[in-house]
Amino acid sequence: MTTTQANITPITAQTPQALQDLVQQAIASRTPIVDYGIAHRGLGNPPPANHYLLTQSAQGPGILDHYDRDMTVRVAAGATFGQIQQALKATNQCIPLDADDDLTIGEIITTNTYGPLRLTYGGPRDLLLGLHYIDGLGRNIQPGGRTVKNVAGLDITRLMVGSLGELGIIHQATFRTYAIPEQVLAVELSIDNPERLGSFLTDWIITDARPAGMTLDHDNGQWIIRLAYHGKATACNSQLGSLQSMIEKLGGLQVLGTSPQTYESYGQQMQARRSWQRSASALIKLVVQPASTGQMMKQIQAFASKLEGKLKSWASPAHGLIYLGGDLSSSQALELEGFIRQIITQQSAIRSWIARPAGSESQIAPFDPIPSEMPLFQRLKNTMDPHGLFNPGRCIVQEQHQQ
Amino acid sequence: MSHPHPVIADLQSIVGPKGIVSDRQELLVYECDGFPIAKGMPVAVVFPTTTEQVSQCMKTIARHGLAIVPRGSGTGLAGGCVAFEPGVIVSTSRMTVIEKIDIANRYAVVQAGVRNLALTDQLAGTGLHFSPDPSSQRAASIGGNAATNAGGINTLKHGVTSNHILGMEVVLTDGSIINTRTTGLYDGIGPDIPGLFCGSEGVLGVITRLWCRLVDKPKHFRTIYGVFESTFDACKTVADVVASGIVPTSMEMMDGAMIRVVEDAFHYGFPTDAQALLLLEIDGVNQILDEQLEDIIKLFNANNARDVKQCSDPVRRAELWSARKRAFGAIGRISRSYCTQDACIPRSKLPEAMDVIAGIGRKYGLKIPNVFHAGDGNIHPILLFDEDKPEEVQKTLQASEEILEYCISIGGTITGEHGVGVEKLPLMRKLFPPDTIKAFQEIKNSFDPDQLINDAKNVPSEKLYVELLKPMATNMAGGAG
Repeated sequence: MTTTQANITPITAQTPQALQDLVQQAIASRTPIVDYGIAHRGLGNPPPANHYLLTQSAQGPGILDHYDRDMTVRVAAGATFGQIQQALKATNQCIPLDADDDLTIGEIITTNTYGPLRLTYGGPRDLLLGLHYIDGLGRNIQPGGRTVKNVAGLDITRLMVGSLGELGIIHQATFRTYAIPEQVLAVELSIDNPERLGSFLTDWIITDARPAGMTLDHDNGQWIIRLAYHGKATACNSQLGSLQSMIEKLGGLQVLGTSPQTYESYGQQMQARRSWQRSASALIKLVVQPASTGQMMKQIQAFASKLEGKLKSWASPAHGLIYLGGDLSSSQALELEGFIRQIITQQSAIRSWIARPAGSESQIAPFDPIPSEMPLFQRLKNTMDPHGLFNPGRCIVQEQHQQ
Repeated sequence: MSHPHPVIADLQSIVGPKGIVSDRQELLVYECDGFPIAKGMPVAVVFPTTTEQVSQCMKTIARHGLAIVPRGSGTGLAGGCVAFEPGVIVSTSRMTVIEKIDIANRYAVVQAGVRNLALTDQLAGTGLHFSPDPSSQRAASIGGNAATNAGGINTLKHGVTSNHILGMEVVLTDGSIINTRTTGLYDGIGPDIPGLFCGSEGVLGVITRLWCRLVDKPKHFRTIYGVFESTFDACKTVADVVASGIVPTSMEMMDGAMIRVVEDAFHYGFPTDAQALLLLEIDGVNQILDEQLEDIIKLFNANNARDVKQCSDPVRRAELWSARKRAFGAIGRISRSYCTQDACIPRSKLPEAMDVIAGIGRKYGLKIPNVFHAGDGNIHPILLFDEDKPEEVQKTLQASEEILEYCISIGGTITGEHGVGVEKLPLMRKLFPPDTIKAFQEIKNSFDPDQLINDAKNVPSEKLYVELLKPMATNMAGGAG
């Protein structure tokens, strides 16, 4: 059996024209363009052996226009999240997303990266106002705009969120910005049994004790809920008071500590806490019904004992988002896959493997269940990328594409 | 005597005789929506009650070579649910079942014809509600809200309809039923199809069922209104509040002309010599609202507010919001007809925009009072005219176009929440570059290759162009839209 030698041509692009030229070149040479990002390289089916490997970057800080009095900003998709946040600091503004500093804006959008702050500010689909992308014919398409409301035309902006780079190459995006909170009050709670969380999560969210963001994980033998309250010190302390009243009534919860911080330092802390994900050989994004999050986490923790303590996890209960993984072997990953499959068959859940250990890729499908909308995805793919150039086969199974 | 179209009998076999309207007198109700200038008479209106019936109806209508025109409650304001070519309106107004409410996971499943407020009413006492609150929410359907990506007064803080739709079931023109993200989960895999369908104005398919996100119903409010001697000062206050980082629940404005209309109709005690009234509300944690209110009052006063009143009394609060929501209804006392524009502009441009609109009004000899969502930059100039006077109709259309072209020139869009429909279609080519229009058309055609459903609405068509002042569409090879 002969092995096909991969022919990967790295390409860097900074401008829309460069991207348009690349697409024309790709059409002419029948060579796909691949950009899986840096934190999601393993997400989806592997790219074809021969391809252009695209890296987008931005000239300067990446801000193309900052309409600071309108609280909106237009950025280059090749700019990193950290670059943009640093530049927005000058006007005390931010894009309130949970994303690592080194991810590009394009990667954040195409992988729908979000975290606990979605509870208060929304995710990429809620913060995006418009974007520009190069389509499969090399055209520069510009849906949306810069106003906070806009219903003209079709909302291709939202369509692109989570599209895994298969429908076009995003090169700029306009976001809504928010004022950087004066303070983040970080609160750590212990909870005796995370399964209880589902029974009072909604009640919590509708009270004054509602945090800006909430995570759940198992740390040093304890179940920990980490909260972030945003605002002025008086506001945060007031909410802390409401939280304490709430937990007195509920029982089984205890405040372990509080720590006032800046928005930036809290963000760095959260990034550090999830840094294990970036080097994990196995990583799953699991989405369950929010009320089931605590129950799922407990099951995951019980399963973790079978994997020699290598399995880590954390959750954003408000949206049922769970990340789990670690440095697992191929056989351990298969075991984990079997466990997750059980969860998916027992209740409403979806899972995506962001990283699979070498040797397990052929045995673990990247997405489960296969989206029921796949026929619509195919239609859109055939329309927006008729030559099958962009990350072909990553998620959307095309009937045909030209190599 | 003309024979009934054969599609009617075929549709009757699906929905029964009471599920279809074909009598010409009864069809008059459906010849327009809230945009009365453009009228079109459908062949029939059919009222399915299930998704399967919608599917069968659409296949039947297509088989007869007729256009499919989706319609919710008909509260649209851009002609989006009117038949401008021989076609059948598929109304979801009898699909009114709230199928599931899941408090623990904060979502509800509803048929498309469920009225917006009906869902929130059903949630009374739970602490949750369905957030989008267009002024038409008593009558508007959630399916229609999604199709137009409806906004409302609270969108500044709480978002538009698309932010509150987790998933949906849609029927395409070939009758196929698609479920997209209909699991009650807060995420999915792949491109955001519900996001694409929201705001598509029925040009891709008929939304039949929705998975609606439920959010906490705010409990604590502070309401404040200020009276100004100029719209410029009021608009600058809006821009300053936004720039300060405060995110009010809503900021609504009425100009002097509108204040007088509302006061004459409802006697709320508004000063009729004022040039602008800015109504602002914040919600959130009770203990911090007073602090925020202080900051806001400072901004009002810094911009020469003549009179600033706080309102913590729930009765007065309800009155104030009633005044805002009834403003359009009050117009009927002073004008036979009106046309509301719906541009959205950067908030920092509001001060100058009001002056420009007033100038356009003077140029065309039209009265244009304003009541709008100032916090979003979503302006609603209301052009008053008599639809029985063709010259007034023509001036209204010209003035509307000029207003919207100006809004485009300052970085705005032609529609913030009402939709493009047929009304604003000619301006789509001024708002978007040609390749973007082409991309919209290609996506539309991928869902609707035979261009059967809501053609020449929202997305310019190569096949059809609707002349607003002519009763029915003009079919033009190559289209002029």
